[in-house]
Amino acid sequence: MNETTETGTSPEFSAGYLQWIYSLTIISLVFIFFVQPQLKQTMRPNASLIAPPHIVAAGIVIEQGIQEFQTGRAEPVNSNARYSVLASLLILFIFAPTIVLFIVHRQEKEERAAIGGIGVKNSLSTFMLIISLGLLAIIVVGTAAGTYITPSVFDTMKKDNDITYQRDMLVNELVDAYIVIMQYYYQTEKFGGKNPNLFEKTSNGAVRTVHSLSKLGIKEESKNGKLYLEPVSSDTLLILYAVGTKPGSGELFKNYNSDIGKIQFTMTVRTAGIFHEIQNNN
Amino acid sequence: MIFLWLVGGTVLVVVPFFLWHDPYSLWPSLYAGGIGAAVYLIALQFYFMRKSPKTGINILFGVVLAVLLVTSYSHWKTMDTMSAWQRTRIGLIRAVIANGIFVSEDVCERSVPVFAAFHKQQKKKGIAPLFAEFHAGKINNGLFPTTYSEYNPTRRYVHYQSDTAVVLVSVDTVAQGLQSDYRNADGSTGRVQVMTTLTSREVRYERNN
Repeated sequence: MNETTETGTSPEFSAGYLQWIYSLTIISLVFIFFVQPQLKQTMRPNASLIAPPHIVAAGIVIEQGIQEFQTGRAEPVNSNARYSVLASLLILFIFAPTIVLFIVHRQEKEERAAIGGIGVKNSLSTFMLIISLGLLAIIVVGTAAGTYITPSVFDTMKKDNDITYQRDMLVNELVDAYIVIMQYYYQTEKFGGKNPNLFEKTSNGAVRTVHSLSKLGIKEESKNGKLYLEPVSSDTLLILYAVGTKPGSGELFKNYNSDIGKIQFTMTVRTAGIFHEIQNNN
Repeated sequence: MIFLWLVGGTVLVVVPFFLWHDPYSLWPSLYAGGIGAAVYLIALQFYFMRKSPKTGINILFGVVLAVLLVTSYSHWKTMDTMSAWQRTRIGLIRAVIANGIFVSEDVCERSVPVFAAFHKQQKKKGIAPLFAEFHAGKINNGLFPTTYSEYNPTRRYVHYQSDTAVVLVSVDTVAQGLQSDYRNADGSTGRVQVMTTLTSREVRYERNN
């Protein structure tokens, strides 16, 4: 059978069709049993030849951030990751498009010249075309989708981070307030006489705070939110509220200051220590 | 012919990839190699346009190429910015944790109870001797235990200023502070440092870096 004269419309189980199946099978088996184990041996488990290179590069940056978190310094980029990025750059941006273009143009030329066939050579080129088209599709579709999706993902991350950061800052402000309150609580007028007691008893025996937070030198408002001191019911217990500006998970949550749906912390201050809890988390 | 093109493309990517080598980042190499790949793909497109100018394949590949180059640049840039931002955030989280631990330990656990005891006491003992008495056995050679946990190595210095003041200086040996060139009390540079001052009048803490 002449390979070059047989056309692509051969019936099933023709010699050309079988050759095509054989060559595909052999190539697949060679890849599965020889190429893939070699790659696994020579590269790190998470290294990949067709992972988009920018994903690997970004992953390395985040990995270095985690290293800094743990040890205070980042390690240099290891050579496996570097070669993995280079290989994927070559495969996805050089080899795949070149192979696609050359094979497609050759097939087009053969069609115009009315020659062709399904020999081993053409089966191989069809296989290469499919693989290369697949790789090209991965990078084109993946990159285009990433360009569309990633900015909104980034925005969501920033918003979440802003909420988390505000939560941390509100806790810090509550702890700052606690420290000041403790100083007023313990410090008697004997020491300079300028700092009056935090509590006083009224004529009917009830306890009340002498000062508001601002008079104790505590900032009641910051860019993160507002602090409130609840009227006391005992001289051993204070309750502070912090209401943020960012939304909490409960949209209908009624905040202490009659806002709706904002982050809120409560801090219970006793002489033995403090206890704080978040009431409208996100 | 395809072999020559593949070799040429490989050279155009590999040479700038290694010329713009940064041992701590892949991005300069990736951008340089990406520019090489872009030059190659445009040249390849022109080659086929000259060879067979009117084919639909050329138009299709031209569109795919344009989409690939524009979206690659945009997406790479976003990923570069996003990963750098995440790395910074991880560092910030570490600094917030360090600051929180210092405030909790140095102020709430170590200073406020001494402050309270000072104002309740019948004898008029100075606040510094009272602090030393309170933490007797815990301070060795002017240092509190250096490690909070294996993941949070710290240096915790105690300075007594006569009988009237105690200064606690805490340095986190890992977390980066606001100024990278700040000289820390332990000789390191750029790490988070918090100073707590305990006197008979106040417990004050400030973040040095």
